[in-house]
Parts: sequence; structure tokens; C-alpha cells
Amino acid sequence: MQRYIIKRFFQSLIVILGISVIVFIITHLTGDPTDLLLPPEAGPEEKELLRNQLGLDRPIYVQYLGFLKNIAHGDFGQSFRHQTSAFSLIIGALPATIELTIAAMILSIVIALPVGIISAIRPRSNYDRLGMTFALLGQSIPVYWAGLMLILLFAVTLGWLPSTGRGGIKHLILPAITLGLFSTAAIARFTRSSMLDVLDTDYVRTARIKGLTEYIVVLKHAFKNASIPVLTMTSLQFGRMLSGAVITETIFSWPGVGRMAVQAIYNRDFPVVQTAVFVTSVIFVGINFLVDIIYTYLDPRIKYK
Amino acid sequence: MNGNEKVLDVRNLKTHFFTNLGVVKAVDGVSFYLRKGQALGIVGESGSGKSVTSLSILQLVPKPAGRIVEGEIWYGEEDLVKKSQKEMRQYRGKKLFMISQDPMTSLNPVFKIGNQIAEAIRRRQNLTGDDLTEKIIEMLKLVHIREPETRINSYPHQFSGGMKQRAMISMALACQPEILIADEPTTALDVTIQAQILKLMMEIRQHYNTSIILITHDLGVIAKFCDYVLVMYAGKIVERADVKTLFKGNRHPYTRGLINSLPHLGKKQQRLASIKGQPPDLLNLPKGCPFEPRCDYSVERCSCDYPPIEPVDKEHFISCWRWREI
Repeated sequence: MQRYIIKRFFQSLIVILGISVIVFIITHLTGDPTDLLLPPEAGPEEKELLRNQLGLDRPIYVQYLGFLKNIAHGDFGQSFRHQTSAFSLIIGALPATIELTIAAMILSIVIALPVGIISAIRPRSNYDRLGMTFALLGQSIPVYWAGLMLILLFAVTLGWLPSTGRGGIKHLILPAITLGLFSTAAIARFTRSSMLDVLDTDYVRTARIKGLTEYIVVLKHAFKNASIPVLTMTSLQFGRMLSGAVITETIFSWPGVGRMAVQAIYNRDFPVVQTAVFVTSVIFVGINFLVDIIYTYLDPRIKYK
Repeated sequence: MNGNEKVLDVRNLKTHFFTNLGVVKAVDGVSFYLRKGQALGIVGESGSGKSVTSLSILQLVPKPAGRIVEGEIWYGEEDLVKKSQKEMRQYRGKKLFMISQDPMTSLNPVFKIGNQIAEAIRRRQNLTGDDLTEKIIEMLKLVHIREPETRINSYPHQFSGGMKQRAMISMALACQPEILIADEPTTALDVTIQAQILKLMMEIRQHYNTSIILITHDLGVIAKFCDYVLVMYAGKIVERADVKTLFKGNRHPYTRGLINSLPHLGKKQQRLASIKGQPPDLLNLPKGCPFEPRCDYSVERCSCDYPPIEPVDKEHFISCWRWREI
């Protein structure tokens, strides 16, 4: 058990190191930030000076090692645009993103699990058909379109909910639905197929042979087994939500990491982009690590592998 | 035999599967009864309807494809076919229990063995805490599992195949069913373990006067443990008789083929005898006797009409046009 966790922990560290390389290289491929930071009339000498100040004239691997050394100290550099620490900018925006992601996740799980389970218990029933049609729609509709349609209906036409900004629960509803739509559909479909597989197994039949109630058969014997792949799927959805937040946050002007990252990309504000991608990736890796630990509680066989 | 009371009376049972390719008549007009304390064997090749017959008794035919389309299964004064799934709960785990073919997959991998046995115990006795733990340990001891105090907390993957099947039997013991169905309980186990498992089942039978339905394709097992035998072929019973008659006085060419294909001790044999041909395609059964294409005794009539089941004597029934001549 302990070995399993330690092994997973080091695997996570390697993944984070990989992310740091990719993040570092990709942002450098987008162009020269000094073009944006200096006034257009600035001469080549001034440009060179700024490149030197920012360390952009050094070889790329030196820049990377410097970057790695700095992030190890929690220093992600200064934002080119805002003249403050990039890390504090992202950390400041993080609560908004986490709030939105968790709201969307809770919404997805609360809707998807019952829909998936009931569809699996009554396959090919009208309930199943209805649920799976909505799931198919949920997975097919693009996020930006769904977001705009929700704004059009609930904010513009009906005027029930605000369309932009962060505030109370009311502000959270539309962005959370938009962000959670795809995941709800995906988790529901996955729960259904996973439950269908499990309901067909010998051990579920054994549970029935014992004369246990349908409630125990489905929720204890079947669901605990079915929840293992569903958990994998859900943790992947978490990653999708963290990245999907970019679009949702932009549509709803939600002051989170995603929107900040988009603005930073427009401004070629390398340190902010790097921090945003890095921090979200680390959160995702962290969630996967947690999920790996949860597995051992759901499936005792994992501990001994 | 311990008395003549019928505990189960199956009449003209038809369980069909409605698939995209057509209707599979897995069980097609099967009638038999089981007496108190009797050990009834069902033999036949794969796909002959043995397992579906037992699942039909428990009303656990895989849905939505499978359905009992006709027939009655009388348990005492009640017809189980008419029971809802909810009503069947009163029978499963109390009156009826089934040990299935593959012990590897019949236990839930994510729950402790003790927990799974406890579920069976609690169907009969409302025990909790230490009393329950004690009872589980007692059950594990009865099926000869060593160190039951620690094994109670094991997961199925920490058990061997034989231990898993014994755990299943301990559930059967806890439920104390009136009828225990064992669907090829030893197929997945090696020979030495087979004997132990069968011995355990017979102990249950003697101890509690449980009626047993033993499904197998091993005639040796039938000869040793059963009183009465059904021979099934393509969803129908072709011959049923007490075990002695079946081995010595069988009249159906298929039964004869099965018995001839047994190896004989002390007899020099180059090759084992076998029944020529293949079991029939259940989607495409011939109009007449399904065994006709493989039968050495077939006449024209066999391929046109299905032979009715006729009594040879009080306990011996047969479905063959030519049984009088064979």
C-alpha cells in the first residue's frame, strides 16, 4: 500500500517535470514578447537591452534551467504586463476557477450517476432512451454554443440570471451548467455502460441468489464495482473542465485562471501563461494522484499489484 | 430415499431467448420433479439447457433476451413462474440457493469474504457484531477453511479456486435452503478439490435433508452422488431414470452414447468412443428429433416428428420412437 502510493507520487513528479518542459518550450514558440512590451518607435538597442534584462538572450536550455530553479523556489517570474508576480496573479484567480470547476463537477455527478444507473437497470426502456438522448446531445453540443444559448434564454430573454461576472450562487448557475454539460453526458453514458457490464456478472447474480434486496444488489454489489472505471472517467473530466474553463470563463467573463491565461496569451505575457498552464496541470496531476489512492479503497486488488 | 414428498415439480417448462438471430429454445418443454432429500443429476452437453433450467427455477434467466414462455414450477403450493422478482426474494437465499459454475467470478471482488457470507447468514438470523463474526467463523470452519479468524477479512482474490467454492458452499450452509442447485460446481477446479467439494455438498444433504440438483457433464459424478438423473439434449429431456436404470437399463441412443464414451478401467482401449457429429444449432433445430442426425438408430419417422416422452416404468421416462426395440 505505502509502496504503491510512493510509486504513484514519484510518477506524478515525473509528469510535472514533463509538463514544465512542454510549457516552457511552447510559450517560447509564440513570438518575441519585447515587440509588445516596448513602444513601436523603440530602436534595436532598447530591444536588446530589454531582452537582456528579461534573460531572453540566453540559450534556451539555460533559460529552462533557470525557470526550473525558480519554480522550485515558488518564483514564476514577474508578469510582463502587470509588473507583479505571475504566481500571485494566478493564485489570486484560482479560487474563482476552483469554485466554478467544483460546482460544475458536483452538478455533473449528481445528475449523471442516477441517470446512468437507472438507465442501466432498465435498458431500452423509455427512461433509458430519454436519458441517453440527452447524454448524446450533451456530448455533441459545443461548449461556446451552449453557453451563448443559455445566456440568450436565461439572461437576455427571461432575465432570471446574470450573464457575466462572479458573485453569489446566481452568478454560478449558468457557467457551471455550461462547463458541466459535456461531463454530465459523458459520465452518465459511462456509468450506464459500466453498470450494464457489472449487472451481467456472476457475483451480481450471486447477490440475487442470496435474496438480497434490489437496492443492495444494485447500489452495493454492482455500483461499487462499476464505480472504478467511472472514477477514472470522472477524474479525466476534471482535467477537461480545468482546460474547458478557458472557454466558459471567457464567455461568462468569469475572473478565473482560464480567462487570465487567454488574456496573457494575447499579451504574450510568458510568465503568466507558464504559471497558468503549470498550476492547472499540477492540480490535475494532484487530482489523479488522489484518485489513484481512492482506487485502493474501491478495489482491494490494486494494493497488491 | 427419505420420503416421497415432492419439493419441486417442474411442468412443461419452456425458456426461450429472443435474440437478433432468432429464437433460441434453450429449454423447450421440460418436466421433472424433485423429492425431499433427493440428489437429482442433470447431464447433457454444453447448450443442452441444463443451466437455463436451473436459472429458470430461481427466476434468474438473463433479461431481457431470456423469458419463461410457458410452464409451471411448483414449489409446494406456489408456482414460482408467476412470482415477481420481489416475491422471489422470499425464496432465494431461504428456500433455494445456487452454487454456480465458476467460483472465480461468483464472489464479489471488492467485498471481504466475511461480509459476503454475513449477507447469507443475515437472511436467516438477525445477528450483528461479535455474534455475527462468530457465526461467519463457524461457517468457514464447517467448509474446512483454515485460520477462519483471519480469512474472514480476506478478499476473494486472496482465496484459491477451491477455497472460493467452499466459501460459496458456506453461504449455502448459512442459507439452509430446502433445494440446493449446483451448476457444475467442480468444473473449474482440479480433481482432488472436486472430490472435497462434492463431499461437502453430500454432507449438507445428509445433515439438513436438503434436496440437491447437481448439473454436470461428468457421468462419474452422477454415478457416485445422484439418485435420479435427467439426460438433456437440445433443450429437452430425452431420458430420465433412477441412477441404476440409467447406467444399466438405458434405452435412449443418446444416453447410451454418453455412457459408452466413458473410459473403462482395466479395458484396453486405443481410442475413447464418442458420439459422432456436433450438438445441434439451437437456432435451427430439425423438425423431428434433434438427435436424429447423429443417431445410429434413426428411421424416417425420426426426422419428421418429435417423439413424445413415454413411461417405460413408473420412474423411467424416455423420448424416442424406437425405445422398445433398442
